[in-house]
Amino acid sequence: MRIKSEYKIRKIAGENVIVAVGATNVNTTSIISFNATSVELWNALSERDFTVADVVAIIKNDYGQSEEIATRDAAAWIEKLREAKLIEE
Amino acid sequence: MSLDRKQITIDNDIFFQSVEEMLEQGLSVDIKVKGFSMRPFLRDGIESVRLVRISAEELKRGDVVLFRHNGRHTLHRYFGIREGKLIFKGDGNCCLTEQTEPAEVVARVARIIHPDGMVTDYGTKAWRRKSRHSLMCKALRTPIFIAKQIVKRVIRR
Repeated sequence: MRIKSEYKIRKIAGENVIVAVGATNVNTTSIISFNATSVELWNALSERDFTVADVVAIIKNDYGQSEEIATRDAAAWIEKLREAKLIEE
Repeated sequence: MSLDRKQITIDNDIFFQSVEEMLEQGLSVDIKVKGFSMRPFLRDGIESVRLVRISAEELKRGDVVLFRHNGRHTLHRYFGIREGKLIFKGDGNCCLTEQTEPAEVVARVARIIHPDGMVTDYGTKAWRRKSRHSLMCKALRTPIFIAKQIVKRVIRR
C-alpha cells in the first residue's frame, strides 16, 4: 500500500493536519488532524510502498512497544487511513 | 499509544492567517463557505470556494473577494471605490456595506465548488447568471426590509 501522493502534512493553526495539496491548490474543506505518533508514521512511510509489517517495525523500534501492541496499533492506524481514503492499495 | 484521528475546530482568524500564507506561496486555496451574508450566491456550509491571490488594482466590480475588515476576514462582493476606500456588500445583506483600504484585499473567488462536485468558474456564463440572480434577490430584499421597518414603526405608534 502507499499514501496517496496528493495528501501532505501542513501546519495550520498549530495543528499538524493532512490536506489535499495539488501542484497549485490546497484543499482545506476536508482536513484531518493527526497526533504526533501518526505524523511520525506518516513522515516515515510517505512517498514509498509499505506493508503492515513496516508500520509494526516503526512502532516497535521508535516506541519500544511489544509485538502485540505494535500490531494492534499498526492495524488501527492503517484502518484510519483507509477510512479517510488517504491510502491506495 | 493513541492513534486516534480527531476533529478540530480552528479559530477563524488563525485559520485565515494560514490561508494567507498559502496564497502568498502562489497556491490557490479551497475553503468551505461559512455564514449567510452571501446567500443565495454562496450558502453556509454547502458550497466551497477556490481562492486566488489578487491585488486591489486587479479587482472588477462584481468580484467576490476575501478581505480584512475590523480585524476579521470577510467574503463579500466588490462594488467599487469611493474616496480611496473599497466598497463591499454581502448579497444577503440588505443595507450593510464594508469599506476597506486597498491593502486589506486578500483574494478573489475563482471557482465555486458545489456539494455534488460540479463547479462554477469565475467569468463563465453560469457565474454571471448566478450573480445576476443573487443580486436580484438582494434588490428585492432591500425594499422588503425597509417596508418591514416602516410597518414595525407604525405598529409601535
